[in-house]
Amino acid sequence: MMTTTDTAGRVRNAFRAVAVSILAVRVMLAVSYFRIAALQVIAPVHDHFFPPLLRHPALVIVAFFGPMLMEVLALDRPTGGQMKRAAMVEVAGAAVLLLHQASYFYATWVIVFWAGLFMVWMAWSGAADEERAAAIGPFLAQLIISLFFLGGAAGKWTAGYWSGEVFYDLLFARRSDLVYAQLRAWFSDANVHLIATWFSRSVIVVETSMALVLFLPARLASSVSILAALALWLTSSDLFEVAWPIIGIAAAGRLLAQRHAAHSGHEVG
Amino acid sequence: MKRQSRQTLPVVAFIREVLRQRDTLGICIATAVLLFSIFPLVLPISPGVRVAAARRFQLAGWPFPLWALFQPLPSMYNFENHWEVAFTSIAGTTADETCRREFGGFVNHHVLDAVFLGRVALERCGFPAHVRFRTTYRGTTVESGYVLTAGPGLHGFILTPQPE
Repeated sequence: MMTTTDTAGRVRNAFRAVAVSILAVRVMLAVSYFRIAALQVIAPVHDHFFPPLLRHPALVIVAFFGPMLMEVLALDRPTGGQMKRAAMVEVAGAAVLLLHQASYFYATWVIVFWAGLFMVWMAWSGAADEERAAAIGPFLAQLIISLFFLGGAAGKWTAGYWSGEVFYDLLFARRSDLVYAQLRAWFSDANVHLIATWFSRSVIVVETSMALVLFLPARLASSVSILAALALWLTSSDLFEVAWPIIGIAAAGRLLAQRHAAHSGHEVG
Repeated sequence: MKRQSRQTLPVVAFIREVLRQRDTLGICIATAVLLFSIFPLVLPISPGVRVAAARRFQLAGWPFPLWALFQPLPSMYNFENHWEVAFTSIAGTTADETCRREFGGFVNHHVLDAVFLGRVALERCGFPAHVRFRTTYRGTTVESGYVLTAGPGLHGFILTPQPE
């Protein structure tokens, strides 16, 4: 028979999966955020829109590096209190970075913000009630992943994306990533155009399909979410910052669903 | 006890659980996600939402607090966005042509990231510079313009929206 301690362990593992995925992103981005803050100091942009505090370089550093300590503490059997603090700091840090002049345009902080809310839910509701964690957690994970892909898909339901013209100019013609550079070296411009067209159509179809992931069984949803995130990463090497938190959320949903199956025999997905 | 193999879809398990026992936090998060989902879903059918979304990305016509509320709305590579930059201080020169080529074409939907991230290169091409953004989505086009002028410090600049 599974005990409450075992169950708390499941929720804790799910929590750690999300925390680790975000911590890994922060480690990879740490140097670039020092550069971002330095640029705010060296070449400040005075604009009409952002309040002075949300242009301040120190705030980027605090919001980026502040949650790292909490994420590290959450790695090794975090207590309920540590989980709650880590989750709150995660949400607050992402919210600040979503509003800061130097970082508001990074999709990273959108997915981290939602991942943080999922962590808040795990730290409070999930950790407090084993049945609830198993019944609600997988769906929340799928719902967040669905929203993320829906937001991406809807903006691409245009002739320009369907023809591949937008991605050709943004990625295939200009990006210096190894994949795009090799394609330009190997193929004629007309063929690169053709590849861009089918790439763009695939992105539209995959993102639109992924928006429906909330209706899938938990394990299948988790698997296809991880595959979609890996595909996203493959298209552009710097998209690890978006892909890894998606993988963390998907893994957490899977871990929580397993608990439900083991305890009651009524398997979620 | 014999293990049952019956599978319950997460969406069904969620509804059953919140009916059985209220989970305020879980319901709040699910409601927030569903509310945010409305906007991308009505984007193709509502010209008003299309214009608002394009203006949101151009940081034009939205008060900051309202814009901030919508920041958690995901939007990877949305719309067809172009920008062009004219550097008046070097107009007609070879440098102007080089700079114009460097900064034109498609940009990401958060169009001003091109200015914020490209600030060093923009400064190298000289100020004042006139930046024009054009966002199109299913028959809707929204344009906005900005002027970049030298800032008070050694580097950096002032970004001022241009009246339409």
